[in-house]
Amino acid sequence: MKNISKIKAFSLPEIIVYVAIFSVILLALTQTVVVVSKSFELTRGERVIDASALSEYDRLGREIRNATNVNTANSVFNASPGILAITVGSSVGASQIIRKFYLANGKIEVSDNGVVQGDLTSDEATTTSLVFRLITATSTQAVRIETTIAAPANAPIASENFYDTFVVRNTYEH
Amino acid sequence: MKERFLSHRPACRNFNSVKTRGMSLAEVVVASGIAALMLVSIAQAFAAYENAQSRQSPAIKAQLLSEEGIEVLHLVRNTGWNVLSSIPAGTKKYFYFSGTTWSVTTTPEIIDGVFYRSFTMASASRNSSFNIVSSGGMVDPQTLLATVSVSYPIYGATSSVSYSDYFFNY
Repeated sequence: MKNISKIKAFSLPEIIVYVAIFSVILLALTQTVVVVSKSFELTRGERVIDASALSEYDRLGREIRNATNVNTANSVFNASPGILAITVGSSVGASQIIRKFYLANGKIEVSDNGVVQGDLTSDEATTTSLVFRLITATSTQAVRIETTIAAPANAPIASENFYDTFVVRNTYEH
Repeated sequence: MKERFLSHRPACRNFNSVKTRGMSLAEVVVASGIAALMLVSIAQAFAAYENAQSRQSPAIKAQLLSEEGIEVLHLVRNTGWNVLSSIPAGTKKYFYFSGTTWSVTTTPEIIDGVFYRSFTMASASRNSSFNIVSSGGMVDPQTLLATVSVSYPIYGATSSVSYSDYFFNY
């Protein structure tokens, strides 16, 4: 017990200085965490949007280019949510497939002859606008796709517009 | 039992012999400095990641717009070869979308107020085997090289994406 008296304690000014320094550090830390957290969510949202856009346009572009033609009777153009129906495979006979792309719960869904095949995008993003525009030049058909994709899907904090046009190669003469 | 328990607590035995001293102010300052440096490093690393990601979105949009430009030129070419062949080499031209048709115009096209899209045409040459060559050969008037460029401002500079493709009158 004798040695306890030799323990050097903090003086009041020291404690005040320490507390002040730690308060500043704590404040800076809190602010940094808040800013980084918000920024991380935004960055993550943008990454999800980019991945969704690439996935959507890659698949839609390939499908449109390889289609026999655009099935205008089953499509909804120039309005959101739009529907794109294309004829895949042989234009006649049993092998003919009417493939549709449309919005379902914020995701672009694919169906073959009315049977749902799946989604083009992940659950993390939501497509808030989907417009298909049919372009006909002489005998050539093309489809312009205009989408707005947002993320995260449940409470979007980031949103981007994307555009692209694809020519139906089967209707292209050269 | 109690004595045995206490005998295995060295901290209790040594408690009185410790000449405990608190941290000095200098130590606190050094520790704070290290913590601050770590914070700044983490923030800088994240800022770099965020910077890279924020460049990604416009780059992808520009790539899609460039790809669209090439597709539109296919459409334009199908309406008539002369539409493309009449464009002077190296002269910037632009696209116009009416909602149902694409056309070529001299009015600059700005998409979403950020992306500037234009295209130029250039002649193409072929060698004796009729293969397209970048130098030498003879100019083939039935072949043209189109280059679509999309530029956009980012972080005080201008970035651009260019796609090229050949078009034929065959």
